[in-house]
Amino acid sequence: MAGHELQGHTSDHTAVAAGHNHPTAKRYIEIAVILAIITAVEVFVLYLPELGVEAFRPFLVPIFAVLSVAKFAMVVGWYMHLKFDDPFFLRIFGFALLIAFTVATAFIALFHGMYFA
Amino acid sequence: MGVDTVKLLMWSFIASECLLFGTLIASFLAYFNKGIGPHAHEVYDIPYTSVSAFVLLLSSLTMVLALAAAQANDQRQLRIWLVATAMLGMVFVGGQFFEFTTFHDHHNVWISTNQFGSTFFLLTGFHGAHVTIGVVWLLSLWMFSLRRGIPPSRSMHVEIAGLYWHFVDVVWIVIFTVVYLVPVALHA
Repeated sequence: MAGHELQGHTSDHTAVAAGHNHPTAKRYIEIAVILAIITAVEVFVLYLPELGVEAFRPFLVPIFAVLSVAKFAMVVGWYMHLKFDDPFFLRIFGFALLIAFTVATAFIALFHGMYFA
Repeated sequence: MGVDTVKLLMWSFIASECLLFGTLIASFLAYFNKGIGPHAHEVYDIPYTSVSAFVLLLSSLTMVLALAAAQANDQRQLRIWLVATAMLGMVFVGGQFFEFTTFHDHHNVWISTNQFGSTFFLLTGFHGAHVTIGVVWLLSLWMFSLRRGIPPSRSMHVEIAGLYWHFVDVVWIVIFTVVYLVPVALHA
């Protein structure tokens, strides 16, 4: 918390919001269109092997991972305003994500380790 | 540079929620293809779930438009976008209810059927409960805006609700990929 001054929620948030330079409605709609396109691409890619494009089969999971991370980052950055807000919030969220990812990975590794044993 | 205390509290709550959902998703990944069937790829209807994903993504757009309206002191637009977000949330929850009943009635999969059923219903049920709480929160804000209005000086109320709503959306982004697409892709 060093370097950060806490302020009560009864203060005037108009100035705070203005200071964040939030995106315009047009930009929000552009982001939504991109998110919808990415989701459509995900579903389309899933059915490529069934359409005879076998070359994609080994890359399905990595493709989904990349597209999902892109969608995640866009919502968190633009809609949750982490891109514009105080970096302290990004650090809180990033730290939690890191712990969650580490615990999840360790759990899955441990579980599959039991099967290999 | 000041850090708003309510926003800090909300981000701390979201951080704790990351751990909750991270654990539930890890449990699903560990168990979804173990034991007796039916398994994920046998019961999923990906096109149907994709529509649910679109609905929730659209609700995130209406939520940020509500916040923009609140900050611009456009009370009419604020109410419209708040109700639109709540309705999209209700559509999502209704779709999830239909999916659950389809799994139960047509595929004989329930929370006690097998490991897939247990982890799937626990994870998506928790997420659905979060969406439901979000809908109640948004409708409360809508009622508040109808009675007294939400001036720009109080737009933080909308922003905090929005943070929660968008978090529910990003969790669904992960669930849609990890819980729906990946099991089907691994079996393809």
